[in-house]
Amino acid sequence: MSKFLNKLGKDFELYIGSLFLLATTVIVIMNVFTRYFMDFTFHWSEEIAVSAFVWTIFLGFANAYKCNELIGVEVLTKLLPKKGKNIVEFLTSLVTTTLSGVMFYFSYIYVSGSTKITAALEVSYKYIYISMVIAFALITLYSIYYSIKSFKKIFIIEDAVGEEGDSKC
Amino acid sequence: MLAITPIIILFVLFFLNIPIAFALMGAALFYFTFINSTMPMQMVIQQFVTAVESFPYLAVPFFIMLGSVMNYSGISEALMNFANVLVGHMRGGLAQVNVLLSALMGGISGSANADAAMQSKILVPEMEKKGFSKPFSAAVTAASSAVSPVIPPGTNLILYAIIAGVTVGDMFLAAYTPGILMTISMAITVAIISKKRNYKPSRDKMASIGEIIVEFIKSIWALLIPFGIILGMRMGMFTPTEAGGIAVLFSLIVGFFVYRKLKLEHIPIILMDTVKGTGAVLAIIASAKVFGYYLTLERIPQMITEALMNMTSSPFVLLMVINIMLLIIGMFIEGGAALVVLAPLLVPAVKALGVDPVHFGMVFIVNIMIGGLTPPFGSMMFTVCSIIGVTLEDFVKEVWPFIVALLVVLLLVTYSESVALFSLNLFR
Repeated sequence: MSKFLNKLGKDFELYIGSLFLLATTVIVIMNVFTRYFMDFTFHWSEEIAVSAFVWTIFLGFANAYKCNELIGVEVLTKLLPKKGKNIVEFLTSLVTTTLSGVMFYFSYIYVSGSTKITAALEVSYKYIYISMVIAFALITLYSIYYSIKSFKKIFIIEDAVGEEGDSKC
Repeated sequence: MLAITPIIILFVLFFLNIPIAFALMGAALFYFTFINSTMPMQMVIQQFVTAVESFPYLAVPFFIMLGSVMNYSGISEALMNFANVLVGHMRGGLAQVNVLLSALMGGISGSANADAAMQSKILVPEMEKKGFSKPFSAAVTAASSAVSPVIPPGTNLILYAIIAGVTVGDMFLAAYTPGILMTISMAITVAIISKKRNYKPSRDKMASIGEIIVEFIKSIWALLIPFGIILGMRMGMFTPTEAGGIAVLFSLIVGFFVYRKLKLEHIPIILMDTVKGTGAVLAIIASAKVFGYYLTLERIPQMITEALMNMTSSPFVLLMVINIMLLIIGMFIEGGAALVVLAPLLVPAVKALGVDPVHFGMVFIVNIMIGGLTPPFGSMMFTVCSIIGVTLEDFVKEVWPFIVALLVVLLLVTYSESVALFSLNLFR
């Protein structure tokens, strides 16, 4: 675990995401009970549950990228020798940086231009969709970091590098 | 030709080991930047984010959470003891317990990898003590874990239902039949191999009725969860999403107060596991939506339907072609991802030939689980081999009879609608 990531807080996305997930869970369960036992539902319940869910998704997405736990097809990396593996890892990180950067840019424009308000509570959708912008910003940062790290690894003499597992967290 | 460039790019990105979510995004971004730039990017982003802003998808984190709760709540152990009194006296006892336990656990959560990992850790060491070889134990564990996602509830069943536009309830009810058939086929395989190699039972004699009742009562709370989910949804008491929420609440109560294994400090771990898992799954769904938007604009699903219809007018041949294709794709791509990307393409085609979409769902769900067991890139294969410490080579030597058994079930489900939809028709 590097100092850079430690500084950012290893699992801070998961801490915040857990709070959102907890909120979603409590609201959905509460909804069933109020409907059955008190014969009413809060008109905002579904909206809040789904909004918190969106936050959960994007925070989890950023963390899953950071920890190398996104599902991928590991054909090439499993077949290549170590040197080649590092080169592929560098390329992969670079492509991800580009994609994530582009997504960050357009989602930022989308969110800042959004005038939609939610149906029940009449709040701006910006408060929900900003989670997507944050996720892509984080992933762009992480992938730049991984690009640099894997680029360095290409040139380091084989036995100087400690064996690192696939998981980065 | 230009229209299919994004598909080629998708495969190149897959091959480069770009995470599936980003590969889908990359292919779609390429299309909307270079091929069809009339569409404003805002539309693309909107497709992406609104895809996951959906109440039905909220069922996904709940069922992921349920699997995590199970590991900490003592539910797994209760089910294991119950499985042992039921089948432990048979030849190859613990291997049979392994198969039955996967089915029972599948009735609560339904992640093949979680099931494979859990059993590799707690059941396989016991199996080794009883004289089972490591590769065989690994093979049974991986193969039987293919049952967990098929037996409802399960995330793949929910995803397919949303994609194909059928009800989650129908998918859940129907999936019992293939799930149970898979369990039986693997129990038979274990029995045959155990007889040949003379694997010992895990108990000296059959459990008495009294013992069975004792273990049944101990695990009744866990066994109630699937019934509660199905019954509640059937009676219209709650939606699939709410069913997931209630099941989480119920299993927490069971874990805290009945088995008393669950501690408050487990809650943050469970939540954090779920956040990460949810992010990984739903990122693929969101990206697949954007990729699907490209496919729709270029009328690719219609082209595929037409091409398949020109090739054959027989559902029999069509399903065979699709099965073979899915089996090959399943060797490389994780099942859930294959489902999200391919089901929107294939469901219209099979519907056009008169195949019931729920029936096709059963075929799809069973098929993609088999890929998890096959080299070069089966996810359950990797899970068990790395935990137990078996080489892929040894694993493959032991797992093939199980793959054959599962293929038999796949054929049965594919070519007999009355078998595939047996449990659904029973209740419909």
